[in-house]
Amino acid sequence: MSILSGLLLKVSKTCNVQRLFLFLGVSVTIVIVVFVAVAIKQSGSRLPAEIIMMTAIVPGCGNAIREVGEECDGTDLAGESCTSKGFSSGVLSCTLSCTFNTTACTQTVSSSGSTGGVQSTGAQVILAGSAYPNSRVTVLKDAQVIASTVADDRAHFQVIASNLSAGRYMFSLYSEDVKGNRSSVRNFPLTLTKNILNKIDSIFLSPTLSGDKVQVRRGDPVVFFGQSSPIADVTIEVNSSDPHFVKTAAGKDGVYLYNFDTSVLELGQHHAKARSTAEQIISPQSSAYGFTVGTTNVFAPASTTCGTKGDLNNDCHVNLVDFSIAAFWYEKVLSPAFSSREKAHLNGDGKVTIIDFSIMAFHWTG
Amino acid sequence: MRTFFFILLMVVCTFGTVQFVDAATISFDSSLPVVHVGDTVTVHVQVDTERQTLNAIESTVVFPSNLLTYESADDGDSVLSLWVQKPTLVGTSQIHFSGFTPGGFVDTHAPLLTLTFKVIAVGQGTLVFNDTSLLLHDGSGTEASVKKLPLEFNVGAGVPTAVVPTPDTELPEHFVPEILNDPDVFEGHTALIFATSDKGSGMDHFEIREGWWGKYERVQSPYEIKHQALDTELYIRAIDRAGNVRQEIFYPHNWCLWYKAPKIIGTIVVICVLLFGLVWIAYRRMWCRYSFSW
Repeated sequence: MSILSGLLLKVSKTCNVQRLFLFLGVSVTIVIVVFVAVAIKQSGSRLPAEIIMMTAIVPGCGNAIREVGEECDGTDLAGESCTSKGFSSGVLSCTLSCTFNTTACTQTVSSSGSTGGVQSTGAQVILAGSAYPNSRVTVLKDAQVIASTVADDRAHFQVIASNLSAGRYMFSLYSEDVKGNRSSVRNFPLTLTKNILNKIDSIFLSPTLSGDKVQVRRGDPVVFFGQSSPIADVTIEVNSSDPHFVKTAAGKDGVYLYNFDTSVLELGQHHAKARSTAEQIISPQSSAYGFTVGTTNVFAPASTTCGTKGDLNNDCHVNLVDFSIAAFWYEKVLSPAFSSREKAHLNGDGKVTIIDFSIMAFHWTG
Repeated sequence: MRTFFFILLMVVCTFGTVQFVDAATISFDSSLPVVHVGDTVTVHVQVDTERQTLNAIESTVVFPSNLLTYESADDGDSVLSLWVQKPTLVGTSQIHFSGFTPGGFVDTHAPLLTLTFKVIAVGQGTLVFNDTSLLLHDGSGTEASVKKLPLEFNVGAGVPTAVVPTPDTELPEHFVPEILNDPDVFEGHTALIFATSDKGSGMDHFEIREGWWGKYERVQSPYEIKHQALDTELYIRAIDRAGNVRQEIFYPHNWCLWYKAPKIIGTIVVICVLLFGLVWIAYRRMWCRYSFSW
């Protein structure tokens, strides 16, 4: 700036410079105004009239400084709190994707039950129940993940979804045990009304069930194991010409194990399912564990949730990405490369149809 | 002979009943009283799962195009979470749709969609289902037995009934677009995926604008991004049937604020230098030469 001033002063000694100053001043002002306007526009300080809500994914998320497009970042909550978000109390935090996490916020509820009548901002839903001790519980709304929380050491969890529009929703929950096996998904269709708090408590997720062998020599034991809520009674059903029911108890960590004598089973394909009972609440059945009774033992490979049916991109989740990949090929002639993926992860009929999406829906994790 | 027919009747009744005990039912829910030419009528399509868990549905509704004109399909209240194919008019008399619900559903009156027609002529007609698949939530995509109930109706001449539509002021649901990089989609080019729903009138369409200077284009997910350098922000609009707009902005990996971008800073410096140079030249060649006074 001083160089510019010096230069202009020098010029002013040789000629009349008022016009020059005027021209320069106007030019520089225009340039500055244009760039400042662009900067303000780009930084989101002035939103177009039609923008109602803005969400952004920015490279700076996670640097503890709230930037454009971030609701929050680390401890920078932009002055918001649970109460400003419509809750009675609790601790507001920030998710890894720099959006508000209201799972630790609480709402005073006058009574428990499937629905309540508490006035709140927008429709709200509280989902509470039991999973496995210290397990991660994932909540989906209309097939997309909206929250994830960790159950306490008694396996209890609670999730609050707030500021929802009135209408019909499908809420889904599942959990993962210590070995990464997932429970079956529980669905709760709900029709929400504005300013009404809906509460679903006593949700009891199904136990996980796995086994040590995929093929067992008849007469040898097959070990069933999994996780449920602490000290729950676990009933395992093994299908045969006559189904066999056996009972065992989960430990304080929710883990259970049962040695099943296969001498009572015929040769051939079988499957087992488990369900838990705790505090007089019965869980839904677990996903089936399939095994064959034969003449030799074949131990099960280490369990994995990656690359399963529906997981087209092998990212260990069946979600919108896999749906989009399949939707791209819906009712099209498959390329040779995708044909092999369709065979491995869908029904293998060489085309993408509604049947493949049904398989995807069964294995959906969000 | 009479005994034979009696036995045959018993067999038919017995097996017929058994067949329909577990058959999921797809039907229309509409009283459709006597409608009149000029009326706008709505028909709800619903499913009774018959205690089975279903997770995917595909069907085609066939309507008499000489009596009805298709206006719209409202999926805002649907039990289907994701649409493989949103309700689409095929030809002049068929509406095709398919979608699924992760985790499945069990319901006696599971709503699928609401169809709106305009009545155009007097007569008698029937709405029927064709090419219908209801799939069980069993991990294999097994088709459930289906019972399809048609809907018969009469159109009389008379004064049409005016229907005041319920105003929808709710925006489509908030959504988070994601990047898709897959070798088998758009030949490996980066794409953007997005999905949302609208609980009021239902989703109509999406629009995308790339960059501040771009223009909105009607698109579908997955969308192949034009600026493959991934340095341009994307504005994604979800628009419901009532015209309510939810806009989300997606900033790709290589995007950054202009005043943090070395290229743009450099460009600004160059422009400023050139501007000053031009002024300087103009001053030296013209103004000082004539040395005019103020």
